[in-house]
Amino acid sequence: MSKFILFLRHAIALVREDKLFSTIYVAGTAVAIASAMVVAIFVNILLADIPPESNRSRTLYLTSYYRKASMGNGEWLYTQFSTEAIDSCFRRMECVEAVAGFMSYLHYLDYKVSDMDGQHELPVSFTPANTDFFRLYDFTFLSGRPFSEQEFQNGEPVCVITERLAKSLGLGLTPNPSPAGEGQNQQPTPLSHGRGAGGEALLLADKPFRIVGVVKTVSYMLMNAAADVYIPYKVEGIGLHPERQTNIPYSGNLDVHILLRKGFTQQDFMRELEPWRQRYEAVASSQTGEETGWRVWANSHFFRYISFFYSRGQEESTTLKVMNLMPIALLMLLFLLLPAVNLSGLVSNRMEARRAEMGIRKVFGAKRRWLLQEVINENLVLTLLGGAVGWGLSWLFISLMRHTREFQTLFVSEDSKSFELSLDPAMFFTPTLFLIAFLCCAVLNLMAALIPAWRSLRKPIVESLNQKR
Amino acid sequence: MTLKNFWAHRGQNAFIFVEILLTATLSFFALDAIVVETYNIYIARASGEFEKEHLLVGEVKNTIALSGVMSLDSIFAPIYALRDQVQSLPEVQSVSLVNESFSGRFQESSWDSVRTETDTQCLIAYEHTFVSGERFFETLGLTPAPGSPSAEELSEVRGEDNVVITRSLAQALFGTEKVIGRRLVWGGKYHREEDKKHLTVCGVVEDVKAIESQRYFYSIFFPNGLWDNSPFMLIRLKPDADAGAFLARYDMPDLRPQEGAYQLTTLETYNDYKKNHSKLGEAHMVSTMFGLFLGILLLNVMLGTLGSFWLQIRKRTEDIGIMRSFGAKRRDIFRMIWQEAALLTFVACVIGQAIWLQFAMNDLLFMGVHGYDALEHETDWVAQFWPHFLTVCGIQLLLMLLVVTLGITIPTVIAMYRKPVEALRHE
Repeated sequence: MSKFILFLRHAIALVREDKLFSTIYVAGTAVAIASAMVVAIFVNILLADIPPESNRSRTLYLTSYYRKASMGNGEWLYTQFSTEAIDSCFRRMECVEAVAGFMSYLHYLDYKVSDMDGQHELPVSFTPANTDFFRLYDFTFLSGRPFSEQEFQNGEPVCVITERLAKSLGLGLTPNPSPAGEGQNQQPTPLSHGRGAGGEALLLADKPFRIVGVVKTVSYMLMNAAADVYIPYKVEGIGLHPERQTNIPYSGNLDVHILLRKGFTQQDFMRELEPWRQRYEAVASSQTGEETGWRVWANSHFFRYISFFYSRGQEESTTLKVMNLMPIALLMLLFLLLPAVNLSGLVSNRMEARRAEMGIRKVFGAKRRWLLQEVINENLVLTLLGGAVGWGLSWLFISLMRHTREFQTLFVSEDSKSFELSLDPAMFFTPTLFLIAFLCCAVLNLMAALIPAWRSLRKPIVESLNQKR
Repeated sequence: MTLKNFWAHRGQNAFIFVEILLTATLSFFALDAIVVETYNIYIARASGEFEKEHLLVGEVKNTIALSGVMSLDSIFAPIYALRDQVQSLPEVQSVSLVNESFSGRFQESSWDSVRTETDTQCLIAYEHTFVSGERFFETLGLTPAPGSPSAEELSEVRGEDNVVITRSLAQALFGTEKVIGRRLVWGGKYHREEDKKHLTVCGVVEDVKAIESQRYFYSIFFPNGLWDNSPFMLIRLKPDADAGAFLARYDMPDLRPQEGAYQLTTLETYNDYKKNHSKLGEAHMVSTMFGLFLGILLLNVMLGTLGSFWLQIRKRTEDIGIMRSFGAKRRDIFRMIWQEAALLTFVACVIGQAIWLQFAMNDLLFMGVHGYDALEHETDWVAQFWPHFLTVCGIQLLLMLLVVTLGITIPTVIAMYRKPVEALRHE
């Protein structure tokens, strides 16, 4: 321990001794780490379990295609799912814990909400969903509860809104003291209103909806869960058409996201689905009187967003995941490589200045390996300092960039009229990101210090000692 | 003297040399894309483009949910009524409904190959549609070329095989603008063979830059029916009308044109509409992403030069002191250091570019975000290999010199202003 403290004191003394060198080195490292960490944070936002999308690692995203013998060219046609597909098939599967059915495309339409007086009219994006939507996505309820199965089945005009919308409508709802992340499990609690009874409902597309819950606002960087209003998709009278008027029973207008039980994988799901699929094809063929085919593709969250070397239908595996992460890792390495060359130049200059010191220490018996290790460790202190600044810079960069339309387009449609790209600490400060930042620092440090230090220490003692004569 | 200094400090300069060389190689493609897209967006212009100050773009949407099964007539009747209502406003000269915004949603425009029936060489042209009978050409302000039917007649063109083309396309395909009745083959080269269509040219109009990053103004206008129940409305105001006052009136909800469930939900000038949407265009996104990448690399070079030269100049303080005491002026000191840095940048950059040349010769020169691979007959600098490569090389060299100059400025200025006595006493 005392050895470590001694080393640390020595390293800090060196940092303070040459402030110019330290400042330039820290700045160079910060830019390198910031560039690499922007990439890492972006990937983290896309892939990590961030509330309310806390179950991304167990989520499957389904797409479906069908074809009928009468469709001459033999093409498979894209279709979404119907309520019947959810209830008669997916919900009955053993590996499935919840089946969220919802209509996502409505985000892009011009729907507006207002309070019951028709005042405070605001454009909103809303998601008509079933009750499992609140099991898959772990919303933090500040007040109230999700809509119940009964309210959903009866198509009651009820809604869950975000805190942001509640505030915009001037509802002034009192936060629920229950702990975060227990959205779907907590006991229903009554809403309390800052503006009296008028605040418990709102008008959506001119139809009154009773507010049953208020959730913490979800950043639109979490694309699947984000909306301003959540309503049962069985509500009638506002132009929702969750079912399709076709004779293909499983074909509808619903997106389906599956929450797998713990321990099950995408392959398990596909294996279990196969007999259901075959049975459905047989039933559909007999019902329509012609041969009907049905295909379902299930993508895990990872392959939905990172698919450099992945084509739909390919079996998902860890090796494939690693392969798909390679381009990102290479980009990060590139962002570290160029600054490493630059930092190597600085270290080389510094080692020139310390040649006499190294010569004396070698005369007194210090081995080259020890000295090399010491130089690298001393350098690591500076690199870690730069790393911390770089991490801060990457956060600052993303915070500023999120206000630009170019950045927003990566998460929301250009047609979206209402969205908030707020940042959550879970997007930046996770153990994985910490580990990545540390690894980046270590790699950068090695790349920058190893060669110049080695070159300098290889010089003969006499030459080193003669340097200042 | 510069060469001597350059050689004497080769050990200290080696790292910054390698960094500039790597940056020159790795950033070439990014810079190439930015240069080409900047040229496409800001410099390549269609001659005689239509007047835009009095042109407005609006979106028609249904603001009340539709219920029950509706016939097409019952859906589109109120849209046509809304159009007539706008047409009857005193400031309005003409109105046209379009299924998708012409020249608005840049990234959504599609392109394909086009050639004459007797030729095998293809060009790439953009595909646009207009609603027949909707006064499209006169509303947009596209002037017919000499010998072509009037704008009113062109707006009435119907039929799947009849099209209107731009003047540049007519020239490139037939070598003349008088091409009424001539035949074209559309599609097939890049998509499926069965998508190939034989078309008849019914009219030629002035060039138009429909896509933000369009460099060659090859466009084909296909007549179509109204099928979109959320169409766009192009509104051309009379020359003496004030677009600002018209838009201000539109901003009052009670005065906003409405017919049944349909309303003109947004309305803005053509220029504003184009500006707002161009940010999301593919070319703009490409430039932004590559710009960020290039910016990071150049920032690294600047920091590298700053650090490297600062430490070097500190070591050479004594030399500088001697030079100053022998009468060297401050600007001589600056020139000496700058020339050394410039030589280093020049050599590293040229070697980096020579490395990239190997890739560039294998089709890695950036031609644009849209399919420009039929360039054999084009004569502009982008389409020609050497002019293109050397232009980007020159810009890269200037950029690097600028960055390196910025990097050496602080340490050099400090060295210049140090007193000779102080400098000589420096260890």
